[in-house]
Amino acid sequence: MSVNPLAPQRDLGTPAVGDDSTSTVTVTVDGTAVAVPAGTSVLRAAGLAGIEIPRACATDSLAAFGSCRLCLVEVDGVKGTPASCTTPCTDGMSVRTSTEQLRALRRGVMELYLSDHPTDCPGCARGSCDVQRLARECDVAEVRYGLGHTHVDEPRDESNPYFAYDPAACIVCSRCVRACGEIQGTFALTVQGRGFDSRITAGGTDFLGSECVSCGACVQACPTSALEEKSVVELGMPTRAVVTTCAYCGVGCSFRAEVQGEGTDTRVVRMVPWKDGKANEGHSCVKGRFAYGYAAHRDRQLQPMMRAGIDDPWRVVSWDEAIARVADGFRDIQRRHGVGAIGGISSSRCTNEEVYVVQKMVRAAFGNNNVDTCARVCHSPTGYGLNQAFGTSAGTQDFESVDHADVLLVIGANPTDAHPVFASRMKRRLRQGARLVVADPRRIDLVRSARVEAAYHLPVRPGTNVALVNALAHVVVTEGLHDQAFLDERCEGVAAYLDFIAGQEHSPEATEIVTGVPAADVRAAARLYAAGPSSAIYYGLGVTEHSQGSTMVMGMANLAMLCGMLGRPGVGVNPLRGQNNVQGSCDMGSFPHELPGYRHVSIPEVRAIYEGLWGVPIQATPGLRIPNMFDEAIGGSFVGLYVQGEDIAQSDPNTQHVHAALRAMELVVVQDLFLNETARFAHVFLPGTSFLEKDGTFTNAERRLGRVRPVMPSAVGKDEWQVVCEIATAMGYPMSYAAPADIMAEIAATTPTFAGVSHERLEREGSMQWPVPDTTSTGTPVMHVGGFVRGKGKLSQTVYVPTTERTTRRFPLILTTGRILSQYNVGAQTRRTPNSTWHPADVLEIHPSDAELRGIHDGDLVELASRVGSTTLRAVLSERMPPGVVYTTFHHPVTGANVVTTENSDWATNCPEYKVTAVQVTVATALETTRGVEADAAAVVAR
Amino acid sequence: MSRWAGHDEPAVIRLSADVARQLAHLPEGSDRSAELATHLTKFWERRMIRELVARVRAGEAGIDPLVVAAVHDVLAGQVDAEELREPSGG
Repeated sequence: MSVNPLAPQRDLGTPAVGDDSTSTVTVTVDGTAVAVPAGTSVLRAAGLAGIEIPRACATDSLAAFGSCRLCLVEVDGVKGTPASCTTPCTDGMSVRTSTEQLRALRRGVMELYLSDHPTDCPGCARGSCDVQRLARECDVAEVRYGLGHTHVDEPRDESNPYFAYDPAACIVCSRCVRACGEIQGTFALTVQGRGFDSRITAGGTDFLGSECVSCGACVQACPTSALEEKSVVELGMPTRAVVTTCAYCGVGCSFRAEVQGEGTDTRVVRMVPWKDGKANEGHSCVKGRFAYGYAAHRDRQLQPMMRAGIDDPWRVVSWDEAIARVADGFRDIQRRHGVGAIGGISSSRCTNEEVYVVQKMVRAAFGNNNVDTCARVCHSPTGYGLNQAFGTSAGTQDFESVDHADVLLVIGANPTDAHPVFASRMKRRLRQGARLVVADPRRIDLVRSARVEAAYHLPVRPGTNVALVNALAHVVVTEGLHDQAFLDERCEGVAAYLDFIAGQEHSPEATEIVTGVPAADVRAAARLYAAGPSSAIYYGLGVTEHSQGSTMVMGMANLAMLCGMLGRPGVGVNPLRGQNNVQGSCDMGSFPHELPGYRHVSIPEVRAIYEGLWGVPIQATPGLRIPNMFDEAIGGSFVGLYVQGEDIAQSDPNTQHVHAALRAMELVVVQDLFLNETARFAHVFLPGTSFLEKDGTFTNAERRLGRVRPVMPSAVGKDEWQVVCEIATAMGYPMSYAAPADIMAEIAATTPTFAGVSHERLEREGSMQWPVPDTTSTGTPVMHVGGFVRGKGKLSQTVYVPTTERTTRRFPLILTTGRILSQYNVGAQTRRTPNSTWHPADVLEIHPSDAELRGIHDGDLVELASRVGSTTLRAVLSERMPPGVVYTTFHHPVTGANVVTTENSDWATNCPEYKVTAVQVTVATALETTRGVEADAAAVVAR
Repeated sequence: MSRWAGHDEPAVIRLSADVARQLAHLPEGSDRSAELATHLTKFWERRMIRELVARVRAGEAGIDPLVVAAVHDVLAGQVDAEELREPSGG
């Protein structure tokens, strides 16, 4: 879908009225009758009638403000000239938008604006500033005011790496202030001063030093060039645009990639959030909006490379030579070590089509099921737990569901950092009055931030989630707050579960000593959740990355079923999936035990589908999971690995073990954008494509398939799916497709939940949420309506079993890990953008009392050590952490947090227990870097 | 033989013990060893099961008794065929 960038996304001036409006009114605007929902503004009604009323402060992403005095109208029977943006339509209203009086008033207002606007405004010249356009619309021929006091010489705020604030161009319409509040929910901006001295300020400091999170909402809202992308200033306006899907987190925002040039000369000018994107509705975060530059970074590898040994230098080779090396190498390994000696890891950042062909290559060409995906290390317990409970391994709701929630229970998630666009939506709902309970060891931003405050913060001790959720359920049952009718109608195992959870060992009073959460708070939170009427659970890796991650997911499912909080909007069990296509990667059969659509490899009739289509037998027993691959590599039976778009050497736990495993392999093939940590152990490097070059689909956390459209051709000469097909073909299994749409057609033909999906339908529908069982279905926003996919919801007796990871005198603290807003996962993308301005290094957050005991001061270099390894990083004293718990992120390889994480994992899925590691922290004397990566980071920041 | 760097316990013993530790808490009346046998059959690659079987047969110390019982169930084919077919997604 290519759109004309010179035509802004349609803006009707004020938001549509909510779903509460059921009646319609008819108004006449300049003689044209138009029927609109009651409560619609006159401005919007005029727009719907095809009549554009000039305005500066109004935009349909923000509530009406009525300050610019341009959108004035005349209304029969109404005195004066009200602002059309703040005037609601009434039935029979007659409006005039362009009388002599109105035109005179608008000219006067525009003259005032123009009197304080640079006559040589570069924004006006390039078309990014609306002031001159508004002046033309208002027929301003001259500015009668002479030279006087202006703001044209006021200094610009260039502190933010991505955009600047120019007071000279600012008309103080307050759109930016309102956008920062209403859309983003940060409230970092305000208008400082009064009258002529009014100017936008970021809390009295510059943008970079403020609470601004650089989401770009202010830039998006600004009608002038006061707030503008530096890239537009540098490069000029775009000449074409393509709507595509972000490649960062699991929200899956839609963006319009605005570019210049064609073909290989294409360069991105900016990424503008797409208003019609159902996942983001025109909003964005710092990563998707601005941090796309990694795709053109100098570190980007564009040619295949090979080397004999991992200590040898890389040699650039042709694609043919590289693919032959891969194919011959894997076949040779299989001849000597057996069919199961090789395998593949698919990417959660590549498209569904690319992932599908990887698992097909492993199954059909490799002849085994040794394929896994990075969901192994994040949300595999979600898949297991929700399948056990409901019959589907995905979230139950769409994002819009939060707009109907009365109570939000956020467990082990930090959405303001990891899913910021969804967090903004969440905060909007909270400002409307929804209540919030946060269960997290840390006092995350969501606990208390601008106009949002959790009713209860349950600072659960790491590793004790199941005890907490059982305590919540215990309160619900023993106080008679459960929905017995829902349980009787829709669930199984009810009596046994009610008996189990009523046991005193699950009471808040009994579990307090384990969880560290005061019993009174648990009781209050449980009552709040049960009371609803609509209560929703949102959770993240703080749930899954535990030894009882799967059990905890089932525990949350139990709680939701107990209270009847499923099968309708506003409720549900909602995993906040981390990566842009981790959901899709799972859906596409990247698990070693399941074919696409979560069907076990042992089921003969499912294998028959693929065997019939692919023409080869499919192994009927499970393959190796990623952790198993490492074990078997060290054991000598697994010695060939293809890694697509994953940096297991940095992201997986117990780095030394991973490195030992990779070193033990005979052939490691890495397909990626950069020479990452895993590539240090690779023998063949195959350059990959960025999301700007891909053609396919991503599936976000709400099961929404969105189109990923190529903005530019592949920079490496091939598409990734083509490379995979060529490897398979070279190995003796011919595999080819004409286009990614054909891959999706095969997916749809073989997988019932995607039967109605096609690229053609996605072009028409925009996006669809699976299941899409046939071509008449437009998808399934809310699941389990009327009944669960498995029939009855299954209540499981979720016994709390403590982790084997215990603090000791030697390692008395607990380390937990997480993400930060400006960086993403291993940082391969974001570290190569100016995002490193905000987070140039991983730091260790430690409570002041723990620090004092150890003689640690803020900013000190410290050694973080566990029983498996140690690293050094800077300490930050923070009371967000409870005493006894320390926290760091994993975005920078130089500090490598996973050097200290252990082999402990979820019992069912082997998802690593990243959130519970016994550590000690001591003052260090020197920063030990594994390589000169820190220097590279500094170089990136300096650019 | 597969071991974690820095950790002496073989992975198959550790991983099976993790599962056993959970399934040991199944309600009374559950066939815990059959549940564990089903889990191994459903999720474990066969060389891992073969290694576990070999260690059990060798009478290796430190193997959870429930795991030993489950291995016998695996060898006897006493697994829940219906559960094998259930989607698990993880």
